[in-house]
Amino acid sequence: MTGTLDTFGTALAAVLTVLVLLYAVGDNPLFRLAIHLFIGVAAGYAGAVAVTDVILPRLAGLGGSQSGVLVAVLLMLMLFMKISPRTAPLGNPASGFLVGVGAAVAIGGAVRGTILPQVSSAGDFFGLDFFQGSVALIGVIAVLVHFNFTARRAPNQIPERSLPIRIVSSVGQAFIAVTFGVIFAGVFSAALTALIERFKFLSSFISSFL
Amino acid sequence: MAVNPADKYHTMSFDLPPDSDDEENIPDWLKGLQSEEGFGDSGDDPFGAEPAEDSPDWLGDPDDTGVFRRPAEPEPQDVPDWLASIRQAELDASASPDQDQPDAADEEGQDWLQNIRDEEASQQEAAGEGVSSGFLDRIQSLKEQEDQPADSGDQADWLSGLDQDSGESEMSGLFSSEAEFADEPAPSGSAGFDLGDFQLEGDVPDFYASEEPAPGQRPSDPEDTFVLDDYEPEGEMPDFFSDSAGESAAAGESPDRFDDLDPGGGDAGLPNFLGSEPAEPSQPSEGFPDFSGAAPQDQAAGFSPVSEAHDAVPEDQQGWFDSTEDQEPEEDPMDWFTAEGDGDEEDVPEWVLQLEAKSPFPEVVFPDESDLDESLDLPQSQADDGSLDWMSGQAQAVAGAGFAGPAFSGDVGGGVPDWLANLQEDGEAASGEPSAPAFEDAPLIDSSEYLADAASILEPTDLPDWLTQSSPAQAPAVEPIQPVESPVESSGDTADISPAELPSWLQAMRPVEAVAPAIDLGEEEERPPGAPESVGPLAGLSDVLPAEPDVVVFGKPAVPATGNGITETIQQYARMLEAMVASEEQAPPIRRRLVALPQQIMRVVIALVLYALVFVPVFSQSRAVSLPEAAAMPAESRAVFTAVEAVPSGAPVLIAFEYQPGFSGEINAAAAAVVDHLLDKGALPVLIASQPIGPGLGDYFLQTTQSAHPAVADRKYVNLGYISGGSAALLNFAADPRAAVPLPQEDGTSRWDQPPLQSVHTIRDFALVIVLTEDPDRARAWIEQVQPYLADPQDPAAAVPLLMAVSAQAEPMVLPYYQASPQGVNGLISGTKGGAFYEAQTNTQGPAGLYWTGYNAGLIIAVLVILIGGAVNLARSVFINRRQQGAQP
Repeated sequence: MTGTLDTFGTALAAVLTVLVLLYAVGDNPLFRLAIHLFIGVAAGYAGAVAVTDVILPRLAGLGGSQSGVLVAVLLMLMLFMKISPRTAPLGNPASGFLVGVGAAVAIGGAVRGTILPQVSSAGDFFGLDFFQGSVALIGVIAVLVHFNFTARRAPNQIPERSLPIRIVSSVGQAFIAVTFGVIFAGVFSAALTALIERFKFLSSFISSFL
Repeated sequence: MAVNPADKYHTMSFDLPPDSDDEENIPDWLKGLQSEEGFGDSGDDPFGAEPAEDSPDWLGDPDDTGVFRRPAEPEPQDVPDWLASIRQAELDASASPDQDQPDAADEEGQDWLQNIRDEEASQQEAAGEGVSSGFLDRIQSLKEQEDQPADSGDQADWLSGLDQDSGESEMSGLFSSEAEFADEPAPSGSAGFDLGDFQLEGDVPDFYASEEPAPGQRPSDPEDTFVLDDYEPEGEMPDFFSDSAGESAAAGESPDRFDDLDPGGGDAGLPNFLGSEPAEPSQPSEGFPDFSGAAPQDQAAGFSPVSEAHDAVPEDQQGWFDSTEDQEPEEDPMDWFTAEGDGDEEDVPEWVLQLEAKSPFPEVVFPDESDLDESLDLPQSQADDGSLDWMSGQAQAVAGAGFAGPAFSGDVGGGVPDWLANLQEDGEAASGEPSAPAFEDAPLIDSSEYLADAASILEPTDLPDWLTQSSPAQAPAVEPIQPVESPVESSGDTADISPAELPSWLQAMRPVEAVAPAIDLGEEEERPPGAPESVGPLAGLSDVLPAEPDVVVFGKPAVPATGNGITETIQQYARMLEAMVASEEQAPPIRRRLVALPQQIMRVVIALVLYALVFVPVFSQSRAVSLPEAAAMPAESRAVFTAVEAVPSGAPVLIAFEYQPGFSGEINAAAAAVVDHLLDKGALPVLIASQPIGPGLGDYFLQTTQSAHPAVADRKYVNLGYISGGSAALLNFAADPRAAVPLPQEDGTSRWDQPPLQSVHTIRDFALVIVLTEDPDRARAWIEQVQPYLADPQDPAAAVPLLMAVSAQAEPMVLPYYQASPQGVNGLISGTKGGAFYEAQTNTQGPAGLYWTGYNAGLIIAVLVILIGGAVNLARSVFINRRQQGAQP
């Protein structure tokens, strides 16, 4: 039985894989069918995981603390009021609590985990390698200058950045282009690896019938 | 009932003066007519004179009832010269004793007629409805009476009906022809009557002066003679009036009653029947004049004119009527008439013979009796009793006299002018019945020239009111006449013109006073005459003629407010808004993106090539391309190897599965060697995810890549599952793992109390934290929220390493955290390349080694496609630039 389900699942996965690969010839109903199935299955799986891994364990784990249960239940009911436009205002406090906490967490983590370490690291490039450090320094400065949108106003003329700023901005624009190129190469590499993995799956599926 | 208009002409046209050959005595208008050659045959318009100028005064002065009346007190000296000359000629011609009586009746004849008219006028004024309505009522009553069966064998129906009405003194009673017209359908008949009436009234001088019976055409009906006689013009009295009397006097056959009536002899005031001499009884006809029944024996209603006149004349002058009625005729009452009008030349007066000899007109060719019977269509009862025989004799007498009638024809079809045809059509349309036979068969007005001239004479403005207005009693009869108001307009296709619809340009030219309400000038109107003016430049002056209230308006006229303040601009904006709202509700059609065919072909070709070159090595499990050298392993990857090497055996290792299923192949290739290395070191994996798919992907990863390890096969790893809340959940987990992920069991215990988690109380109790993700944001969230809790505040160097196996697309954003100081990430494995390096370093065979050949093939193809595409685009741009440069001069 398990082997049959596995075989059916493998065959279904192979068919869906082929349907997705048909996107190479353009958007087509078969590709849309596969995408819709994937989205539906993923949403259903996520809901099931939320119930089994979050709600039930939380409710069971809060049994020892009545105050915590009351607060959690109260916030949950308030958030549940968002289901209807008439009762949506009742869920605003819970939503505000979630947004406030999330913003505080994100900002605090960004300052502490990204901004300060990156600023500190930018000045330490020369300690690693002169060329690499120089390129990194030039790239950082050039990109920051490129995103400088201030200019001096001249009488009867359109505000325009000075020539040195424009030159440095062009250098920063080149660094941005290289960065986007690298990111595109990483995307292509990831997609290529996914294609290879699917071909490996199809090869295994075909090999199982040979 | 057929009315023979030829008889009318007959009675009206034979009264030429006996000495008509005398050029001096002939009036000017008659001279002009006689000078025209053959007008009766040629059909030329005999009414050459301007009708408006020739219209007598009495014609242009209708009374309230619309009837043209003779002035109340006719002046004897108003007799025109031509009439006086005619009278003088008559006196000359009646030098014989036979003609003394008509001559003597010249003035007195006018007197008795004048008395009749005066009395009629007074009766009409007293009637209120006017003559028009009275005689129409009379017509209706006569019609009804005639429709009844005859009550006497000797007396015809129409005669008896008229006899009953003979006592009435109404003006309309004089017109026996009206009764005959009334026999016709109301619209046509009334129209025909009125038409003939006003034509006679308006065109009497011209008509009688110019109309001569054409050969082969019958004379007109004498009934209109009464109309003419009734509305006798003073200044333009036709000569035949006087001539008729003169002729009668000359013939010496005037009956006694005429002598009594007109002792002065025939004059202009005498009715023409006084002068008409019946030749012999002819075929009776309904259209023949009623006075044919004037024979005392029959007391015929056909002689109703006389009867009516009898009632109309004053009592002191009615003696002759009474005496006449009392007289019993010794012989056939028509004998005298037929004898007189036998047509023998011996009996013809001398002046008639002279006129015949000198007449420039062709002789009248009258139809025989059979033709008359057919055309007149008389009832057999009337035809048999011989009551109207005198008419035929009269016609023959006229024929013998050599008078030529106008171009009357028995068939009116071709001679009816357009306006008359329209009038008849309107009458038919109004009554729903065909036109009256009187108009169709019997040509009451069968001379197109005559009618055309009458139409030209009667301009719309000249029409009398009685013709255009219809009283309630005669409304159905007069209604069809309305088109006659404008004969010119009704002659064409404009009979259905909608009334009073001003064009826009004309409305714009209207004065403001015409639109704005007039100022209430009731006070001004009520001001007594002679009071001084109170406003305006004439203020203070008295006896000022009042001005038109609507013309003289002092001050700005009040303009009425229209609408509710919504201007056209506002309405336009409203329409625009409605259009915008309507357009928003309509979903725009989905525009399909069109891709050029060569581009589609190129895409398919590239895909097929890529598929083939990638699929073949994978399918063949080729390792044509060797794994990269371990020595060339990047530092971040080597840091991972170093960190894994430092993990003690049996230590819990936290592995976070934060990638999507689509990147499982790449993540598996990147992290399989690392996890395999950990499992080889004896680490106990603890799985966790901040996304719902993570726990499933973790299990799938271990079961597909690490199933050979006993820890995985024995399920000795712990899957903490999904922690919800994103960054906050990661922070909560880093701060308190046991609180963030409660692991209650059915027995009431917690999984945290079981190995390998029993030693884990904080995040730092994990020997290693590895994050598998393709999303830079999730990697940054782990770095920002968890990494700070991995460091030991007391000894920063003793921090738990945070390693990452990420997709190649996330490497550019994650690598800086590795290169940062302090490091956010202590080691990094990116994509297939990082996995291949790690496999090469650990000398294992993982997915990266399987994908490596196809991976490199795909990269090569991508590079080639990019290069070829770039070269083609460069060449294309250069070619286009050169062509543009060549095109420019």
